[in-house]
Amino acid sequence: MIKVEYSYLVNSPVDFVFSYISNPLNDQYWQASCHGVELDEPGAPLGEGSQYAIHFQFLGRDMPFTSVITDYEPFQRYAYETLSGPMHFKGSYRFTPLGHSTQIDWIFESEPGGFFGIIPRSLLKKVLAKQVEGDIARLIGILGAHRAVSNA
Amino acid sequence: MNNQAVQFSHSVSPLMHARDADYAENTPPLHLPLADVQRGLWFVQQVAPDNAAYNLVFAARVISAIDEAAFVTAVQTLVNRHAALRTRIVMNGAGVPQQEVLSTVAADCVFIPAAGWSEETLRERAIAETKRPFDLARAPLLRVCLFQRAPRDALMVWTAQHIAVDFWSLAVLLDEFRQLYAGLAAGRAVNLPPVASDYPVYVQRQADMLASPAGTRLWQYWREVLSGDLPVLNLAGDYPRPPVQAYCGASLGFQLDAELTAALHGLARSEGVTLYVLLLAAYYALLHRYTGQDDILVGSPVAGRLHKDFRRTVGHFVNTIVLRGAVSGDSTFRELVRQTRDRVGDALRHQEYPFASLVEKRVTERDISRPPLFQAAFSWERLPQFQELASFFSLSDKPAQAVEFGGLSLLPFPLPQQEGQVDMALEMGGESDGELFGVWKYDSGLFAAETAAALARQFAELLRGIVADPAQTVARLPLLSGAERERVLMEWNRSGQALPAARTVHELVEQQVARSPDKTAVTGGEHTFSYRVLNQRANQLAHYMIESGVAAGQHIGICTSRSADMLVAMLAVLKTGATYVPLDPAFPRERLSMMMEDAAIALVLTHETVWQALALPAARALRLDRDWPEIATFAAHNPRRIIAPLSPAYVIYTSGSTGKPKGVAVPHGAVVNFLASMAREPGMSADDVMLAVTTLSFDIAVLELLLPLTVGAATVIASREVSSDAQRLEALIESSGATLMQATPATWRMLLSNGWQGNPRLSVLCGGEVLPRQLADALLPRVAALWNMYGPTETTVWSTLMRVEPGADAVAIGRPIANTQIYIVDEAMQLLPPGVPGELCIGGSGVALGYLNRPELTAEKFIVNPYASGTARLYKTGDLARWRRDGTLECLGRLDQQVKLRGFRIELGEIESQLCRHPSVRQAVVTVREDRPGDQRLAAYVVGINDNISAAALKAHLAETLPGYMLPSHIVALAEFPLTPNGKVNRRALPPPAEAAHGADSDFIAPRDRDEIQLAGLWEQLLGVHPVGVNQNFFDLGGHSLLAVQLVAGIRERFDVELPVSVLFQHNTVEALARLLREHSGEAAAATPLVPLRAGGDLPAFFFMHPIGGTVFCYLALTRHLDARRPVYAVQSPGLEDASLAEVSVPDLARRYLEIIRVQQPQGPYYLGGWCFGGLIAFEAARQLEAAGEKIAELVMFDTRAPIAENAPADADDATLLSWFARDLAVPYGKTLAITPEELRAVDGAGMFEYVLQRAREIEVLPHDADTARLYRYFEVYLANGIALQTYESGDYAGPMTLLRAADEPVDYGPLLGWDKVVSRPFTLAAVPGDHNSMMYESHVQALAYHVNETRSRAEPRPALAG
Repeated sequence: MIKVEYSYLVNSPVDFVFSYISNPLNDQYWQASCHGVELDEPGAPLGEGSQYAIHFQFLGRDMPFTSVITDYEPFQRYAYETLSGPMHFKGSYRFTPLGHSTQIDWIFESEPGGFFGIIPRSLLKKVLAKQVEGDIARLIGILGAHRAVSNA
Repeated sequence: MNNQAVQFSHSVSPLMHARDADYAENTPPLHLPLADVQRGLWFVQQVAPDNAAYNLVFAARVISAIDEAAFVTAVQTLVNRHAALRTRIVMNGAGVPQQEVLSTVAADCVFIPAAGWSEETLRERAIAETKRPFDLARAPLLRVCLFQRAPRDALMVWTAQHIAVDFWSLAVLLDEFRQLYAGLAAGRAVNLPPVASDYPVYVQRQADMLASPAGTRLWQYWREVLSGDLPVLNLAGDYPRPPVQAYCGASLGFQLDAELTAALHGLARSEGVTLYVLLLAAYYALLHRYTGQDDILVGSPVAGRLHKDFRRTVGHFVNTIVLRGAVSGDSTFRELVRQTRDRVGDALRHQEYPFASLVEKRVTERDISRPPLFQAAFSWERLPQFQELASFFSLSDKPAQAVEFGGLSLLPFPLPQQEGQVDMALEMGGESDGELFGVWKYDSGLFAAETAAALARQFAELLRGIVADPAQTVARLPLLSGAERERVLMEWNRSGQALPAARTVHELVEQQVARSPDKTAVTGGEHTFSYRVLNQRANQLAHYMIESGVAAGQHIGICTSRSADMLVAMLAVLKTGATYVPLDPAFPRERLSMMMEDAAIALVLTHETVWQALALPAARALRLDRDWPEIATFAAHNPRRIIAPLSPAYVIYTSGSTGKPKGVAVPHGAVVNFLASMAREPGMSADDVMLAVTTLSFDIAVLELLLPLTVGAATVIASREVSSDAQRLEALIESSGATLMQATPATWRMLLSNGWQGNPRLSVLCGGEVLPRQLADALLPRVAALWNMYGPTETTVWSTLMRVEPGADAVAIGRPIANTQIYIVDEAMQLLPPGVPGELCIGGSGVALGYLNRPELTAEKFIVNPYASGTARLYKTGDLARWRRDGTLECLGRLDQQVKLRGFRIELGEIESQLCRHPSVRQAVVTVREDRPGDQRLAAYVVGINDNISAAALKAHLAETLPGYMLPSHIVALAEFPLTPNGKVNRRALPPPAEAAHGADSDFIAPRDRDEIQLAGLWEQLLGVHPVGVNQNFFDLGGHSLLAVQLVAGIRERFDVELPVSVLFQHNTVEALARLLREHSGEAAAATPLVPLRAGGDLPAFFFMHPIGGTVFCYLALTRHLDARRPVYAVQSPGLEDASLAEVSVPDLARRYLEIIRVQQPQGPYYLGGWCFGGLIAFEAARQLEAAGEKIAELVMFDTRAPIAENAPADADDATLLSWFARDLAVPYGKTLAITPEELRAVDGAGMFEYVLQRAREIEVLPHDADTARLYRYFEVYLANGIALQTYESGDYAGPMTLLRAADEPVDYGPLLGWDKVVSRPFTLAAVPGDHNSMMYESHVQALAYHVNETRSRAEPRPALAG
């Protein structure tokens, strides 16, 4: 099991931040390894149970997944989980308004199994962390946030 | 006062002479180099800091009152007077030892209350005081101790380190002390004459002389004298030689009686030589007789006071000259004396050349287990200054007169001193009451006191022989005293036993048949015969043969399957008076044909199927199966032929040195004696069951087949198939009820390795080859008894035996069997003393008739026994053996297995035995091969417990205990050894070692990790040799003692590890040292990843980044060609040591490495570079520096491809990644490790790493102690770097940049490798020879270096020339 936890501050109001992050279609814009997203029911309101196909490329490997939103509490919580794909992962966000800013607490857990073969877990975690840091920076840039708080 | 030492402080007496007081002034210390003669001593002290071998001692009982103040002041005055006593030895910054002469030093003078001590305690404490080592870094190197027993009874002990004080100096000091003490005690001023020239003057004068043409002439002389292979003295020790000389010794005083002393004086006079020369010649003769060596080096000290200025100077002047004697046993002693006189004279004329320099120049392969150049010393001390104190240095217990000494009344209290310097030393020169006396000093780690005592006796015996007949040849001079001769000749050979009444073998059997006719005699094949039936059938067959015309003396072949018929045939032939010749059907047809032809076989007794299958050339054959109905018609009674004991019973063929087997004819009488002896010991009774497993063609089968028939026991004959199948043999041991079994070590090993648990009723006889202690230890708890049997076919099966008991020593071969004599002799057939190895010769009733049709060989090997009367003969075995002091024999191998390589005599068996101690080795054989003419090398062959056997690991194992010259060049693992038909290892059939297999020494192996790189760099710097391979011997490359010390200093500086110098002799390769350092500091030691490839230099440093593999040795070759004034560093991946430190992004890598680099160089301008991926890190580092406002002098990338999508490697599965990893692991070494992904996919996932690890070790691209964890770290770094490469998104860079593109790279990445898409400013581009990999190899790197050096020219333009 690989687990990463990040907390960071985005210099934007919580409604704006929640709306952007909780829409899987935006993943391809701020996550470097995401190469495409397709909602099962385009145009339908997003909420718990909404499913989508998402395609990642990580360490040169193609990884198509079907995912589902498992928790959707506007301006508070958002979580997702894979239903099928080369491995299992899940993520959850907690949004906390701090004045005009929003604190985001993100937990990501993945069980790569043997998908990455001989590549050691420690290395996977490092690469993942490195990528997440890049993604967060990109996200902050997109959302106009001004400072990251910490990462755990 | 308590029993407590009192240290007197330095107090300068007002009575001291004004000149002496000058020294008390606080002047700065004077530094000067060590005198050459001191260097060797200093080195010894580094190697063995706790040794006391170079402590000089003078002790005397003081039986008068002592004025303590005067005593201390006198000693202090000596310290003040003589610079040598105020000198300490320290290392300068470069690791070079130097003398530091201090202005003031407190004397080390201690009074110890010793009232109530027994004489024994006093002696013990005094000896302990003299053995206390000196710390050379602390002055003074002289201490005086007074054990005060009573007001008028004290023991005065002076101890000095030889590096500061020699024997002559000691005499000067004592003389001055005498004057000083007398004056001080009397309260009067003492005016000692000033020291004319102090020691520093001598040091400088000697250095000047050596640098002058005179010094060159001296060296030329010694170079000639010590040319060629230098012999190593092989005095056989009582204990195994430790791998590092321990400098522990003991002394034995001796005296020659007045008559002998007078005779020696007379002989010296008549020969016109000094007594020194005469006794030295006798010493040569003794050493020659003990070792059999003709070329002998003896060290002999000379005072070195050639200039009168230094007559009263204290210091180390003494030098050692090496006297090379050519001692031939055929020369007369008189001739040896003349030769010695001439050589001594020449050597003395060149005595000023320092011994330490000789060692450094002449000893290229230092063996730390022995003193260098010579292992035996002879010294002649007769100093006029010591005339009145001469008896104080004698170890004899003769009563002595008190000597008045400056107001003190002294009695001798001789203490041993300077022990353990060499293997054996003889010190003479002293003479009192017309008797010469001296001291034998010996290495007590090698020799027992009894051996030294025997040596002393034998030397006296030799001297008596010399004065009696100086015209006698050296070989024939007496050595053994009467009692010793009696012991080795008679007492230990007292084996006389009455012979049985039966004169022939078959008579012995027939007598037993009469005693137990119905008892089972033999089971074999399909038959079980009682004694009666066996005898009747043998009789019928004998009668048939006699009727058919078989005559006494004819040779009858026995070529049957292993069955009861085989025994019938043997007995039948014997009964006819003919001689049987075993023809084992399993032997090659050619060999059988040759034997039949050589023996002129008249008839072959065989079985139908056997005979048909062999289709041997025409010979009469009698089939014991098909023809038996006819044979059975003949009479069953014993034939009545009269057969003499000397009639041959059998002819057995043994291997000949020429490859052609030779037939040994053994007479009945010898076999009868043998069987009778064996029946007594090991012993056999009618209740025993013998399991016979040995081919009839090996004479030891005589014991298995015939011995039971002489005592009423039963024999079970195992078939050949069963004998060679451990499982079936084990089953037969159980089912047959065997109580005795005899076999070679190979068979016992086979059983044990198959898991045989032994059998408590089984007595085991083992022979035919050396029984290793390990095998004996494995067998002993599993069986009822174990006997070691020894003997050649030529003296009838076994000639000595011994019941083996548990122990640590090599298994002895015991004592002679009945009516057998053993002689251990030298080449001149002279008896050797116990402990001294020589050829084992066998006389007595077992001696065979000789070799069939080989009269010359018979005459050579079977000679008249010089130690017996009449025509008795003895057989020269060619085996090397020695008597142990308990009268048992120890076999040391074959004489022809004793080899000499580069002056070293090597017992191959010693190496074999050491190999067998490794847990992975089951059996080992070592040979000398000369596969290229003139290129002799040791080759070891091993059979492992399993397939997982590493030649390198075995080499490392050997290196722990054996000196370098005994390490095999090749170690070859074999599944099984080729065997002779008799089950012995067939050395001649061992395959030539393939050069490629297991890496011969000559194969160059580049350093493979940070430690090896740093060490190799140090070696290159110290030795001036480029490049240094990890398997090359430091001393082979020109390293010597002083450089070894500097190397240790370098290691201390770079690794922060303190190693004793001595480890360099056992770990004398980069590989071994690196392993040691890793063990010392632990793998994960937080070593800096910044590897100094070349430290020092006045130009700015160049920093290279590691390529994708993480290691940096790819820059070694390049560094050698870069401007020597430029320090070169390389950053190695920290992940190689600690996987958690592996970074996965190029910016992070660059950031981390810059932190490291900035510790070394805090500010720019920076020179950065890298090969392949290393160039990318350097590029990013340059960008970051640039962003930080630093200046980049130059960025050089060696065939680094730009970080653009087109250049990114494709994705790959595990096997492909590992395959790439393996390839890239080997590339920087110029080697190929091609493991295809398919090959890896065939191995299961977990095994893939092991597979790559094994392959990488085989081609020496990983250190041999690299384990899976290390390989995994390497792989993780590789992957991390690969990921970093894949994910790197670069930005622009505006600084100077040079791209060196590999001109011969077949893969096309475009002319600029894509860099034009990354950087916007122009950069320098040059093509260099080689492809992407080979551009970094030695063959191409010069061009690369040219461009790198050029970058400096650009970055640092030379100042404009004036004008």
